[in-house]
Amino acid sequence: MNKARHIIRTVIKNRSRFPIDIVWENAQDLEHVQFLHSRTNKEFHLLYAGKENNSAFEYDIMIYRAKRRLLYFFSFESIGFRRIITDYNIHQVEYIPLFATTSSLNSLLVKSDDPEYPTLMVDEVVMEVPRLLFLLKHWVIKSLHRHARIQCSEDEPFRERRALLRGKGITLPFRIFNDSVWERLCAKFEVRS
Amino acid sequence: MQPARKLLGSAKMPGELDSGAMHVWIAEKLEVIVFRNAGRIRIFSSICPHMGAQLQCHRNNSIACPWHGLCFKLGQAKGEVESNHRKYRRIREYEGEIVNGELRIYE
Repeated sequence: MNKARHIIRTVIKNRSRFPIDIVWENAQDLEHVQFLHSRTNKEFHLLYAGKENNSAFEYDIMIYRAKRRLLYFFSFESIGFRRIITDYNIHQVEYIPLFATTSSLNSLLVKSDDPEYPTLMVDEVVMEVPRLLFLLKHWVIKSLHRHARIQCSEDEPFRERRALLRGKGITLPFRIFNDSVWERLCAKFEVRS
Repeated sequence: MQPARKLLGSAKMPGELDSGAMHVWIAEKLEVIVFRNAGRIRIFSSICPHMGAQLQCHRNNSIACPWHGLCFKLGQAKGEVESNHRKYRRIREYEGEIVNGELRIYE
């Protein structure tokens, strides 16, 4: 029988000074986290990225392994799966073995009427946690909001640069940077049917 | 006699080069990074070929992307670079000079 699980849920809102298309490019890109968000991420490894038939996206599903930072000096590993649902909407699930915790994220971008901040980012997080962590619910929620706020502020220069390039007619669309582990290792199989 | 070099563009330098690497927009679609390396001026495109991040200079012997870690180690000869990525092998190097605070880039 499964142990009793406890649910933590929170909705995090941030906003960007840049148009929704530019924020969307940034949202799809996970590989930048260990470089641009080194305060909150230590490592990122792409295990698999795949497209479904006739998809216009660079990828539809992605599986990865990451090391997240907590209070900078402490890091923990997570295994994640994300799926692009539709334009401006990503779902993501991560399992964190150290905390026996599964977290899911519904990340949504929405156009805003505010001319200064035309894009609103809404992240709904639902976590299934053990009892001990549930007792620290308020701290967990605070950490999630802090993590998202830091990443959003670190992403604004990325978006600014993309907007600058776009304004100059330099088009370098979002592309996955690394070969996945799937590509690197499965290509080495020698036994064929 | 050396053949005349074709001027690609010029722009005012934002400061003294001795203080480190500098980024300069030379033309609408050409941004370069300028720095001193082994006593001479090196000028490279600073638009990352992957997604356009502004490449940064490290210890005046490599240039790297702050977004995804693409890195080019610089050799001594013009255009001699070693990339850490199989798809993005090259970064363009330009000849140039600084005259009265103006950076001039040649083909």
